[in-house]
Amino acid sequence: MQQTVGSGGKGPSEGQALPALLGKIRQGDREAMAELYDRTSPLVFGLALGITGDRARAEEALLDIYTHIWKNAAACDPVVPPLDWLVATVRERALLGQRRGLPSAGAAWLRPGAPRRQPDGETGATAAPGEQERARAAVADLPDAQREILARAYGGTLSCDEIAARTGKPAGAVKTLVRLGMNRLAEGAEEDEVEARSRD
Amino acid sequence: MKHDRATEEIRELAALYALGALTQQEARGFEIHLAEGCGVCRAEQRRFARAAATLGLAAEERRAPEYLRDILLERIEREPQAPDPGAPQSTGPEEESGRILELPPAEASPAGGGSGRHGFGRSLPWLLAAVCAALALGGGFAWKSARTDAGRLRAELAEAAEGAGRTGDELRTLRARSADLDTILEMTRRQGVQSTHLVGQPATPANSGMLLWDAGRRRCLVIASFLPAPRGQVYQLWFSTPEARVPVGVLEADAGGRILARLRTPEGLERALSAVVTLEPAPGSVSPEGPFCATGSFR
Repeated sequence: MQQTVGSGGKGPSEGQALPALLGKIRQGDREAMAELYDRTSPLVFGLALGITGDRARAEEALLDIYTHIWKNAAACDPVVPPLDWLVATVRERALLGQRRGLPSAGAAWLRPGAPRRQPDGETGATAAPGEQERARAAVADLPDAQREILARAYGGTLSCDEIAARTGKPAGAVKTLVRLGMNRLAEGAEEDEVEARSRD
Repeated sequence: MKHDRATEEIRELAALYALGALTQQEARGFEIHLAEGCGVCRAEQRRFARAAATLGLAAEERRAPEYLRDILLERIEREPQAPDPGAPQSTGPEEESGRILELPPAEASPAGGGSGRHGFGRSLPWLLAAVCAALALGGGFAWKSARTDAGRLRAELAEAAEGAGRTGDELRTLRARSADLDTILEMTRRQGVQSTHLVGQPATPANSGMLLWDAGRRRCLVIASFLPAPRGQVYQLWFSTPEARVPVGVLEADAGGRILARLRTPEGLERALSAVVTLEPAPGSVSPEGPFCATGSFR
């Protein structure tokens, strides 16, 4: 069974494993690349599928993302946490090819009332408490209005004004909802970091 | 101007930037401000980049098809790695954003691209305009030739000769464009010809075009309207297959960024998942290194 990025099961946690794997990948270690894929592909594929809403595009994005990581591992910015960098890369590559300004079915998991999938035959082993679970809890705690706007912004290529036009909300209100929601998530991430440091 | 504390306005800007929800102009302004060394805004940008990562980490995990792992591992056997840790093609989100600065100003904002976008339809009006111009010139020439005023006949003839020269040039241009149009029509009529709409990317939202590919005859036609490439760089077309990105050719644009390129696809290339246009150092690259400027999927 594949070990997922947040499982923290056997072996080191993702916080330690990813930088080590990326370090090996920089040296051209293909086995490390395979291990990175095994650990992270359920998250990467789930995210790509969630954004594109299309299996073919998500599969293409997945190959593109890991090839990109392989080719550019040497240039990875050490300041950015590897997991954040991975997620940002996935989003960026998954949004490639999506026509700017058009609505998308993306980021359904962020929308208010989005059902939580249970692990099944198609889903990889779900993460135990870890960064992914904390992220899901943080998103679930957001007010519906903030989730709705963040889902539209994160899962597509709409500008703030375009989101305002599509939701019928004033642009100022959209900006405020984005700021409040993102600020809450940022505060949560900061608290998690403090907690993790105190554990170490 | 550097800030000494984070205001609501700064947070709003940094949050929208992290989500890619600023217009291109706003995003560039923010990036320039960050590059100037504002520590307060840099800290807010990093905070909200983490918040954006939280949104992605909350996604449901899904198991990818097994064969993708095999394809990937086979692919990386052939893919060279970027050797220089400080290479400009860094993949961190900040570096990727920074690369947008390398491109010339866009006609339209990336986020508000709808207003500035133009599709295949915009590639054709010059053909129609040229047809109209030729008709007008031809009409003027006929009108002038028909005049019988003997006193002005010589001057008329000289003028007409000059006009005929211009008309001849126009007609040659029209013939070339007519041939282009014939090629387009012929390819659209042929069975098995694949097509895809080339869609601009966040860095180049105004880029747009149409690609026709006759794999059997190894012919590829690209009609597009792109932003002019920066000096020393060219647009290069690649086909994505499950195994690799295959170079197809360089797309040469006129001064207005219009492209009508006939390319010969590599032998043995029969299927591709998508077409990708990147910006590469002239005269082109062996493998795609530059930013994506347009993509399209073959269905």
